[in-house]
Amino acid sequence: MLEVKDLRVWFPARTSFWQSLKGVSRYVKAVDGVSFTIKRGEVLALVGESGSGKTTTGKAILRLIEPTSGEVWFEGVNVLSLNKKELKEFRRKAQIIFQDPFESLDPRMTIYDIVAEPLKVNKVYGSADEEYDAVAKALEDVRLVPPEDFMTRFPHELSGGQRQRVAIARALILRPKFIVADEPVSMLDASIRTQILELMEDLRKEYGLTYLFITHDLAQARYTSDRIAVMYLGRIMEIGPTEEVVSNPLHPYTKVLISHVPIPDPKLAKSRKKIDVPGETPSPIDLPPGCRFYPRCPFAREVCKEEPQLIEVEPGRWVSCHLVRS
Amino acid sequence: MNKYKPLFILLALLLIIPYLATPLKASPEEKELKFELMVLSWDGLSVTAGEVIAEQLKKVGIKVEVSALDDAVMYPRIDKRDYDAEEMAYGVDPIPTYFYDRFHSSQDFEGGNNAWSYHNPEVDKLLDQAFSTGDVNKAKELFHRAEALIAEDVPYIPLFLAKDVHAFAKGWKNWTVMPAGPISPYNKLTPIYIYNEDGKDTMVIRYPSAPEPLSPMAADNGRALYYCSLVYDTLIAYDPHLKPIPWLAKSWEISDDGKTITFHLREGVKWHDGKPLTSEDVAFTFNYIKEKKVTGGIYTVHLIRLLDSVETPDEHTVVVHLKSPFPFALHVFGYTFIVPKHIWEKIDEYDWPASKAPEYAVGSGPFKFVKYVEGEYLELARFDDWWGKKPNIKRLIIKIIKEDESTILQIKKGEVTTFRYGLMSPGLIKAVRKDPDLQVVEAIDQWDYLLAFNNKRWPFTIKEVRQAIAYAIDKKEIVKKLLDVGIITDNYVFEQWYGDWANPNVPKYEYNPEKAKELLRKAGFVDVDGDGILEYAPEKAKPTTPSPTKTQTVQPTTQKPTPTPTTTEKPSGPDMTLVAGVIILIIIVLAALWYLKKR
Amino acid sequence: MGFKEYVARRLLSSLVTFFLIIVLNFFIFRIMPGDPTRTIARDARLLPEQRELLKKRFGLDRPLWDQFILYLVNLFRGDLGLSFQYRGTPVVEVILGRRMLNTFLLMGSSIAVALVIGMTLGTIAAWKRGSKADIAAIIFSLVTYSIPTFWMGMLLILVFGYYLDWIPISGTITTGVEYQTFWEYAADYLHHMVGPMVTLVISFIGYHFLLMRNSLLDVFTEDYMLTAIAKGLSTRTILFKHAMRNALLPMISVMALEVVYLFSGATATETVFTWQGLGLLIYESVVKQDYPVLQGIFIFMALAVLTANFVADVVYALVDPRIRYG
Repeated sequence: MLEVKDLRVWFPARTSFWQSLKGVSRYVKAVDGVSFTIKRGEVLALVGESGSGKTTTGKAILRLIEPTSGEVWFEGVNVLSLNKKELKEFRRKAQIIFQDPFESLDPRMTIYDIVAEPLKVNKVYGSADEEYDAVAKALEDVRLVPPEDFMTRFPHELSGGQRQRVAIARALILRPKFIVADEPVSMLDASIRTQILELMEDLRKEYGLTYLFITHDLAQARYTSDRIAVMYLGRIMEIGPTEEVVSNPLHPYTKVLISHVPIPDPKLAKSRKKIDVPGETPSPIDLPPGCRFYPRCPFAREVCKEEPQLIEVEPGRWVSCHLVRS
Repeated sequence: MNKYKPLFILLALLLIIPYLATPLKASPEEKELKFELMVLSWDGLSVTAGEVIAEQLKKVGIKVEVSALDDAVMYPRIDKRDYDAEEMAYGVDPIPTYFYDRFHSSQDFEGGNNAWSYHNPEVDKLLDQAFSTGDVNKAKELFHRAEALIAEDVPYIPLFLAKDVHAFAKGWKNWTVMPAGPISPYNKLTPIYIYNEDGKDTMVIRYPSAPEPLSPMAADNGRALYYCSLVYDTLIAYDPHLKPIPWLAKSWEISDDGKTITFHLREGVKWHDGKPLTSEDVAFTFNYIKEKKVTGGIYTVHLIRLLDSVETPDEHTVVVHLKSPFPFALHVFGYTFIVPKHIWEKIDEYDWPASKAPEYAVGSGPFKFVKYVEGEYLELARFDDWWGKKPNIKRLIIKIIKEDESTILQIKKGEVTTFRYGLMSPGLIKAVRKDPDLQVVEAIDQWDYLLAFNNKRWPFTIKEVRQAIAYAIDKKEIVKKLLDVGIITDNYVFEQWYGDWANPNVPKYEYNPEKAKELLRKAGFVDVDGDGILEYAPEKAKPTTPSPTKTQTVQPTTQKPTPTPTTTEKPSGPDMTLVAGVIILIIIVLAALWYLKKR
Repeated sequence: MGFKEYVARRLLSSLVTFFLIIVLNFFIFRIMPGDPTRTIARDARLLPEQRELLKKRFGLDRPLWDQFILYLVNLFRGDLGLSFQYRGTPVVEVILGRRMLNTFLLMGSSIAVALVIGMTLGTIAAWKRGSKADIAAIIFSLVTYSIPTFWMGMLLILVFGYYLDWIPISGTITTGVEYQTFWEYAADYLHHMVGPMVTLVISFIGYHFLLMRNSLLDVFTEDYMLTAIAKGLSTRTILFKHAMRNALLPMISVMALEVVYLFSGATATETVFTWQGLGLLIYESVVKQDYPVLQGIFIFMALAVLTANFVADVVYALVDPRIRYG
């Protein structure tokens, strides 16, 4: 359904006046050659630390940020080559749920206006009654009941969980097929996270949606996704079916990540050995040559100074590491 | 921007350091010959002259710190005698009463005009006599003697009389030039005789600000007084040499004892509202001023003081009885704006607002009030029933324009004829003088610039210091630097204004820096530490020690010992600038630390 | 807290502030050293009895406490005392009438025009940020904002007033003209207003431009702008419906601050053009130490600022649903 090929998003970096005089231009390589596919009805979790480029990837796929290069094929068309009209059509099919429901809703619009606006723009319904019914249905779908109680209110009057439900209703009102969920629950209280995740899962089943689920939380990814893609500094390190990746990580970075996932059982937690990595994540401006994880990798070898390719090492399991061979 | 803040702090520190260093140089006993010279910040002439003086005095070893101050700061300091020296313009009018106010010891009170605290019992005696005689010739002789004494003492140094530089629009002709210029409250002739070759019948005079107060009893500034001189008649007027000429009074007599003045009024004079003007109106005016203790007008202060009673033997005769004789009594009563009794007997508060003018502004002068548009212009029309020669112009408009530059542009366009006050900015005067579109008129103005000393404060307690400064100042250079907008004077009574009231033989101080140095050394000043600034060190200044001056004409000192600086008010403890500097430094450092911590 | 209670509290605090200003206003001018009669009549020769009468006329002969009570009583009767420079003229008469009207008309229209032009340019520039038009507009704004108005006014006078003879050089009306109709008067007045107004508009535009541009750029980084793009809205809808509406909020407080100008005038511009307004009056009153007039203007200004801020607070609460009453 969706295929991303060698996607790159580079932002020009602020350079000093002197450097710009000398003609030195530098880039923040937020996303630097990312490729993956998502099948219809599948949930792919894009996992990585902050700064890994996962959110940028999600926004670039929907062209909320213009990518530098690459291809994004959605139902047989390259999204990056769409014109304005085609893009509008595309936006009916692909939507996004943002991380922060406190900022993603226009503070000066009512809930009704927020949810109904996509309908109005696309002139989906001819009459106001139909539109009203559709909005009411959308709010019911996200369990904001009774919907009349919410329609006239402003975002700031709602709780975080309620707002995220509004955001979901807004995203789903045009019945899209593909949703980018950008850390949809990370800003919410732990107690309502599960509710929202369950709601998303219910809606996926009901409407046959496909999700790109962006998160920094491996546990969440495991709970929600069919497959996992691990990102580090703008590149994919490993892709594979969720259970396999979690139980048997192949890439050293994935191993480090998984070793740091909190485990509810204290005994088990004690027995497990955490892998510590030295140093900090390098700046995406001054990327080291070779494997991006090489400077911090506990298993690094001489060969890692060369850039590894994402290779299918086992059926369905892709890894970008010299040390992992099929 | 914030990046550069430490730089600014550093800069501030660098500026402070000299303050910390200077007071350490000379020991407190050997006081440096230096003083602060206040000049008026908005007056270009005052500031420039001050700077030239500082340069000139530096050459003879006197350090002058020029501070340009606003009048709101400067005047109170002068009023309280809290200053070393000041240089600015004082004003004079057609009678030299200022001669008493500036030099009589009784005028040395807070705010009094003897701002230099000059006390000389001999001068006091001469002035008392001069100002209480009705005999003009005797008064003149006393003036001469007093002026000679004053010139010897040099309580202040007269520098120059400013020139009144006026520009007229093309086509206008026949103005009258006299002291204070063609457009002044003492000049009643210009508006009557001026005419335009192209037949324009409206003259527009620019004012820099509003003409208020319009009441002739409250008028206390040059703008208001000029307006009043157009609308109200006076008993006498001035000719171009400031000699009294008949006006409302066709003649007058002064009694031999100087205590009675009889004015004979013109007949058939009418007020602007058509009612006849009689001796009753004149008597009413004088009595009203005295009773209400009116503050406006030209010589009212003297009138209140002098007036005993007024008699009106008939409709056209006014007899004024004085409490005591006064050599300028004719001017005091003669140049007072006469107001109509039938209007003013209803007026309780003489300082009525301009909005009352349509009702109250009735005079008998050559022009009558038409209307005043607040802040914009004041319109006057020729009074066709006036007793004298009919003015050539039909309308006279006083227009308020703030800026000199805009005024000049409007004169060039012909929208404005001329302006009330002479130009003050040397740069503009230079431009106006060579502008072919303008007719430039230059006269003696009423502003005399002087360099005043606080005679009660060291080093000006020492006469030789004052005299030395007089020798050290080159007035020619000052006037040259001021683009010739001043006329040098050495007199304390100005010949240009008062003719033979001035003493032609006052001691003059021709520019002579060598003589200045010699006088200073006699007074005990010598350059002890070799920094070019003299210090007070009487022992070292004795002629036995090698003297730096070349002149060998110095006589052994036979002068009486000069007062020592110990009697002065200056604090002999730590220098205040040092203390202030340290405090400022501490504040800056603390502020910098706080700022850096905040970041 | 409810809206009404919020308004009541703001009103009360405004009134208290106003009273404090009134009190301060009285004492500030009495602390000044020196004999006030010396500023009323600067004639050293005045006889002591003349000075006593002057003091009596201006109410300065009473004890300070009496003066204060009288000042308060008179204030509530609308009497602000007598002006020094316009001897015997009530301060209210000096301030109100022509001068206040002149400043109101000039400042009001200049600010309004500058606001409209500045905000429109700011919106365009923000949308096309980084473009040549944007950079040109920024340079223009910075230059006009930093040019001294005095100098610019002089330049306009020289070029358009003198050489081209399009505008009058000074004043608000032509001298010595009898107007037949009100419209003739109005036309003459407006003709005189061109010069000072252009000067002020030019000097105000930059400020409004930069403010609007920055305010919009802030809004652009908000997630709800991405939401709006994701919804498939047109550029115009995004700009005017979402961005402008939110970016205008900070402008409300700016406008409230600019109300002060309606009372303080613009001293430099009013001086160059001899536009007899409150700015020129303040300047002349300072020079001539006319304390009663200054005192009166300060009271009017305080009243204006407090009212404007109060209105701004209320408007803010009405248009921005996020404001919490407190």
